Amino acid sequence: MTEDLPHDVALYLERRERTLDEVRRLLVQIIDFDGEPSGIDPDASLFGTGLGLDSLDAVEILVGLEIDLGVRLEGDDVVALGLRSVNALVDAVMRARAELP
Amino acid sequence: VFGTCFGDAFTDFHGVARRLAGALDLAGPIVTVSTACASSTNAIGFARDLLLRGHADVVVAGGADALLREAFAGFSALGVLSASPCAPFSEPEGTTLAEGAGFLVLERASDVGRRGGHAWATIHGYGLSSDGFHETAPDPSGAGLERALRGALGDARWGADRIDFVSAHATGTANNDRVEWSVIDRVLGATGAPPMVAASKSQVGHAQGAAGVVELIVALICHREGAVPPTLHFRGPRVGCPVDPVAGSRPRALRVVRGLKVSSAFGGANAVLAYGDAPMAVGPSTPPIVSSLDPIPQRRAECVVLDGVGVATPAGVVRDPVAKDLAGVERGSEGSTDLRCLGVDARRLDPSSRWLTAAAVLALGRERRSLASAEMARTGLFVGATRMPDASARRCRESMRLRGIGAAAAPAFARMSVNAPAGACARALGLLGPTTMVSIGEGSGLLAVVLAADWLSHRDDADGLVAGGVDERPKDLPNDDEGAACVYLSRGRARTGAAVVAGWGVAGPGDPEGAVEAAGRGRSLARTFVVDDRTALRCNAEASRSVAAAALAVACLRSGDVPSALVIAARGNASVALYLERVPA
Repeated sequence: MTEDLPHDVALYLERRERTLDEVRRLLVQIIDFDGEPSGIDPDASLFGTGLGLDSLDAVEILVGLEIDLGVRLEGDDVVALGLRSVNALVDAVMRARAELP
Repeated sequence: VFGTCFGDAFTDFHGVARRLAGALDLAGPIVTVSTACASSTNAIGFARDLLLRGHADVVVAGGADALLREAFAGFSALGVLSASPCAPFSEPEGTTLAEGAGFLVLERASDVGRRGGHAWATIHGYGLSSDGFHETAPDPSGAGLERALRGALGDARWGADRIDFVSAHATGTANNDRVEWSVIDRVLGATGAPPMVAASKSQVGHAQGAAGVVELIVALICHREGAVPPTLHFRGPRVGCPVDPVAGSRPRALRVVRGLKVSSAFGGANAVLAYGDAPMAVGPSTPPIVSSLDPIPQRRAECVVLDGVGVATPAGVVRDPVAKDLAGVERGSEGSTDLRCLGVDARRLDPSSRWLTAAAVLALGRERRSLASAEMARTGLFVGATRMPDASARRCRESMRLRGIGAAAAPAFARMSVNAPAGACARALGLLGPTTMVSIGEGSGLLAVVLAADWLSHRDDADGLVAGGVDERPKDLPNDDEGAACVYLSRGRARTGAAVVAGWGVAGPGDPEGAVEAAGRGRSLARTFVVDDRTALRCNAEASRSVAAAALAVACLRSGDVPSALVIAARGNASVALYLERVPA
């Protein structure tokens, strides 16, 4: 099916899948998730009723992004994003890597 | 009574106090208190209670903490360290970690007078509370600290407008200083100018568990010269901070008749001591003795009822263990520890916190009934434990090993303190009343139960307390059992058939007779069912085993098999006895 897509869209989807995979692996370490990383819903919110993270976990996500993924999110990015969902985190990583169209 | 965050660098948490007592030839109870940075303040409060109840005649109380790599890395990961020496209430924000120790000798005022001694100060009362808000940040409303402050004022029977001086916790962090000052201003300045406030961390840094006693000693030394200590490095107030916290580099003249020492800690624990000047003049060669007021008559209008028990283990939970089901107490045979079944969000709780919360839910009967907010503020949590939560401690150290000291895992650090499971449980269930964490090794949980019974029968700032023990097996001790056991104690009128707390005792290590004598108060114990260390509870969990034993005693009383029961733990750093009676028809 991806053969029918324009090249840049296919590349974007591939990168997005890869980044989601990285972000899920990072989250699994932080939250002691029972199960495969793929079990984390990309639309799940990070805090509250979603994954139930708290502000200390948010610090841990930033440290993990920097050390494991080599991505440094600045304070303003974090505030602007609100880091609301797993997908928002994927967006932030891709933006930091200049992979967003 | 020894207050500490970390004890002897993880390996021998309550052993430090035992070695200290050995070096000083002390034969009385040896209690370790660990409510993180409020530890030594809390310890001095308990020391006063031990004296007033006659469990000891002289108590050495204070605390010590060394600066561990983990503490430095953890505070750094939380972003609360200051690059320069800390400037409480001023700029820059951030604290300065320190290490150290401080101790006081406490005696009853009548004993000090009888032997012709002179006291430096008098401890008039104290208060404890839980924020139930966050692992490391204070409740921004300050409601938690306010409960501890009002608890101390009530215990001392002081009006809020009569305080001369407050030795503040004032770490220098943005969150702490603003919340603390707002509470002091609101409570103590409601009808006039608030008292003078100073931050001694500007001189000695943040000595962690020892901070409270060290800062109290700084204040007492100044008070002896008719002065209060200054706050150094003050270059104008931050928003929401006092304009003049004794700013400068010299003590300032002020006679202090009534003072408060405030401590707030990770896990949301708060402790406030009410201290005053000594009744007699003091000479320069006087040893640092702090007297405690003489016993106040016990209020005995109501009794303390023990009417809920809960046991949680990795295998499951036991709601009402019964005598024939002893094996059930150790293994857990009924229901799972999946807290969702109990209506609690447990996703971010480590194993210790999960078991303690499950046991507390069962003891409270919370799965049937939620606490109303007014009840929350008057329901507290006393916990006994013997070591740090192992999974979180290992995770924190692992993160430092893999990523370096500059990138420790902040959540794991916050969850590795010995009182963290109590903080997590209080947060999950809304137990916002008095809270503490004590350790004597074997029997720690029973000590928590006894202290809770003591609190409810002598004070009126709580209606109910969940008390219990929690154990998490370290990886290198495969033979230990793990889990938690809790009971719920409340003040009220006893129904027929209920188990009421009829007495308790605390004595030195290896002195069960002393503890039993105090618990029995001269009653004949001939028909009493005794649960002690030899009872065939095959469970090997240091802190919680003795609480499971108490749960068993309650089951026997309720079934009507016996009229009274005695629970004894004598293998730890103190001997503890709890005497329960069945209310006859």
